[in-house]
Amino acid sequence: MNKNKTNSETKWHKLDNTANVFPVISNKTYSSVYRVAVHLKQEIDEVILQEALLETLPWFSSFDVKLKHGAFWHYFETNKKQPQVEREQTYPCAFIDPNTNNQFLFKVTYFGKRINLEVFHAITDGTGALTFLKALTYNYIKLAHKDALSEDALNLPIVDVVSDIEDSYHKNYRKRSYPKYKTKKAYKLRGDRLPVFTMSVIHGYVKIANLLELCKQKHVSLTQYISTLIIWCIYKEYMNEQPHKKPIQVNIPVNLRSFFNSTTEMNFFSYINVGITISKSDYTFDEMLDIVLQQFKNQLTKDNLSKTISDNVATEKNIFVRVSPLVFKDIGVKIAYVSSTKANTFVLSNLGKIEVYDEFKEYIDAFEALISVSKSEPIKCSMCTFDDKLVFTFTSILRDPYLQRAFFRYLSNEGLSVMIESNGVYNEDL
Amino acid sequence: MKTCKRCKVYVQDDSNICPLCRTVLTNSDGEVQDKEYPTIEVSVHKYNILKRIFLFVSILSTAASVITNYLTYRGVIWSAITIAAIIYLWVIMTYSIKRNRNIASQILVQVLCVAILSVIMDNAIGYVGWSVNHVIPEIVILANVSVLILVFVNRMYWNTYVINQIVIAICGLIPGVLFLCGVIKVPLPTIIATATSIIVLIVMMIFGDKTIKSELKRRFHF
Repeated sequence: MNKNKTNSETKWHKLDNTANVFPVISNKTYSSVYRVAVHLKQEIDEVILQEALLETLPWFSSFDVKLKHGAFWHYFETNKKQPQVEREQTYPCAFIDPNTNNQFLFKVTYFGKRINLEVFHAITDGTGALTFLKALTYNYIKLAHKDALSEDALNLPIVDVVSDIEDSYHKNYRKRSYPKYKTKKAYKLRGDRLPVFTMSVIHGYVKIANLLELCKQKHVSLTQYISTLIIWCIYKEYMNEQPHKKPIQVNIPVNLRSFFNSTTEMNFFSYINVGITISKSDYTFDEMLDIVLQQFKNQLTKDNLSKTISDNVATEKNIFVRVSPLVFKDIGVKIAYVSSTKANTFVLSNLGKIEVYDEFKEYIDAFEALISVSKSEPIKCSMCTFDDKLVFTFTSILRDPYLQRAFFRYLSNEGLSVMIESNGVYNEDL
Repeated sequence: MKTCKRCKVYVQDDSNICPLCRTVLTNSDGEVQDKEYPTIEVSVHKYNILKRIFLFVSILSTAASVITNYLTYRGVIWSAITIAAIIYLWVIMTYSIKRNRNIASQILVQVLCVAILSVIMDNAIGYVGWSVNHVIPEIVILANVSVLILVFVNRMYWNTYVINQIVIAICGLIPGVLFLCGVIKVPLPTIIATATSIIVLIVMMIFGDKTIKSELKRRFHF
């Protein structure tokens, strides 16, 4: 698949329903950029990575774009330039200015044995980014280990589905009305912040089997266990086990592709919000687990998720919204976004178990994900499982890693062997 | 393997301090770790200083020229020119210097700014009409021709220039309107400007049919 440079008709597509938010709310301090990265077993070669990137890009029309302003909406237009890989030289998840970077909305960088893919959330969500990263990794390994790989392995396709850019929100939209619930203001994590544009990263690796054993004892799923643990740590470290009128709310993005049978490479996710209002000082972990479990059961249903989609799409389809000029829409989106972040204390994103072809497994060490943080949501956590290891990645702009410390100490006290790795921000001033 | 005795975790960093609790780590086998993240040098500071110096100088010279003008007033408000020029400088600095800006839209912005600047200057030193008679028509001709050259040199990106080209060509008809209103006294530059604008519009209608239609469709989809 070669890029047709002389093609006269410019291709374009609309932003999906959620994507419309990101160009408006993003700036240098809240970038809406997240990173998915892969650790290989050998040092990365820039020339090979560049070649792999140019081979991968034509398979993903959702990545091969630049952002344009129309009179009423933003839209994506095919980018005729070429992306350039770079050695990592900024903090993770730095803002990608749509006017720099050859106007691409993603960046591929490398450091040591790691390939980073940083993606502006407007083009796709974590699942879409992982699909791209996997394809890029396959191409890289194929180029770097041409001689060692078998003929069959070299011929394996790098993607399942080619350039599926359906807006699955619209596809699964059902017109209906239902009572709207009001978002409640959540408890906020506060504290001294790191210098502006600085972000701390702490990874914690555990054996997935041991952790699943813990969950099994309590008869809960991994995400349920971890989200309870987060609430537990906030309750212990930030609230000092005292009652508070605002609830601790953990926001958990949900991949909708499996619920609605979609293979889109654009955004297709929603959220659930689990939380506990602390009303007494003697909660036990198991008590919290029960509350969280119940909320998962109520919220994580196809019907409930479908309601959220329909609500969002209905707003986009509203004729008054559609004909109002982009500048007015921007103001509306900003207001709506600010009020929506008030409902979250913490964001926990589980990217699940990442599967790769067996032929390539021996070249890959780990996958990880980093989510950008903001003043309103200063700490976030992602989880990524590959092979027998699970990695928790805490990104934060708070100076003191109280939450991270309580979290990993809890796990090690439960008998897990935890391996910590950081980007050194907490030790920089020493 | 390094361990933190308080957190009871293994640490893989290249430092000897636990990133969670700052306890000094116990290193059992003296193993040295590679750096996992680059050391970051932030250069934001430098840029800000430059911007602040510019801001300071702008405010200072604006104040100085207004005061001097007031104290030595002899019928000419020349400080208006200084202020207009400073604003023009800021527009260039914030808009045009950014990389990857569409060149055609930069030309459009320049046309508008220069037109306004020249009218202000003309009026400030006692209106003679050189701005509308000469500067505006001539800058319009220049802009039209340069966008046309851009299109020929860079045909692949024509669609990105189309909207700006239309706007510039339509702006190019303004001197003609001013002539009909009797503002313009020297007709020759205006006649050439109007002619180039009309030619550009006709050329675009004939050759750009599909490109223009699809560009308009993208820009105005709702």
